[in-house]
Amino acid sequence: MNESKNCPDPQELNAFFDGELSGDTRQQVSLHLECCESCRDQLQVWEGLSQSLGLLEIDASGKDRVLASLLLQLPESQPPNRGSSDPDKALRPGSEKHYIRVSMPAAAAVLLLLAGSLFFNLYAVLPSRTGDTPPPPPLETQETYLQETTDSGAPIFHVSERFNPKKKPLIYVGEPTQREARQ
Amino acid sequence: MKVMLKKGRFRQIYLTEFDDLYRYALALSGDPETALETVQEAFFRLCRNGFGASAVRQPRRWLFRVVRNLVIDGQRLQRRFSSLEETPLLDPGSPETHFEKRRSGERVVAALATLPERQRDCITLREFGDLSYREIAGVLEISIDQVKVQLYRARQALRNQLEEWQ
Repeated sequence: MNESKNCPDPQELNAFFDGELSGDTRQQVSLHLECCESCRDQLQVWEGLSQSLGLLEIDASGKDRVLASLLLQLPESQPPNRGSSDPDKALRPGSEKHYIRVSMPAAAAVLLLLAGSLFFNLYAVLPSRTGDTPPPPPLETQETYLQETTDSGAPIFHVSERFNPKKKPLIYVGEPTQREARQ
Repeated sequence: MKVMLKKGRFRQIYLTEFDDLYRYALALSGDPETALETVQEAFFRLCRNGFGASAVRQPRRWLFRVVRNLVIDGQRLQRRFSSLEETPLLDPGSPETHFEKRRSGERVVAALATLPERQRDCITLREFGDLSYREIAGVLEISIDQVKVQLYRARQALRNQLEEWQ
């Protein structure tokens, strides 16, 4: 068989090598290659050329270093917009900074309020460090002192009892009887 | 409208595309340091500018186009500010020098430097970028038939050059 007569155009063979032929053309070239050693050799040459081009070495250290420096300029993978499922649709440039600008002062204000209320609560409960003036007792345990005088200037007496806002206070007028005094 | 990339997505693209982009830049520039800087700049632009519509659809093609433009711009600047005559980064005219080099990769880079610019573009985009003829035509803004012709010529020229040096 005369190979050169039926050989495909070199550019077509080149396209076949690159997988760019389709349909009948590809099938014709495939059939031709089964019986044409010259074209098969040509394909082997190109295959060797491709392998030679693949010999170019990669600087692995440079690759890692570049990646590390570039990642510093990108936001984290977790987007603030949790409603978006597409990682590429989540965030516009600058919106993450805006989110941080708003949330940080709010958190600081809440912390200040909590700290302030805790401080005042402690001050009200704990006794004074000086000891000169003990804090007043709670309202429920406070003794109520009533001191009344009669219109005629009768002797002063007092009634002492535990204050109960629901109970009507007792007011004695005049000298207590012996029975009242015993009670 | 452009969308900011997340770290996870960016890392995925970087690890997938870096090796081929580096080889492509090395084949075009002939200098490992320039190749690394070029690829870094391409990814930096992806970080800084986010994803445009074309980059979303085909990040690989977008990156190869950026790398190619960066290398060409760098070479133009080099020519403009160089007082010497225009010479490729690796001199193809001294085969003895290259023959002594142990690594075949360097010989390949040297052989690529001997090609006309259009042929070198086609063969590198095809071999390192694994771009289809249609994609190469899109990057270089030429017809698919021209890609086919340039690729064939590039392979023949490379083969002859490498055989000559062996």
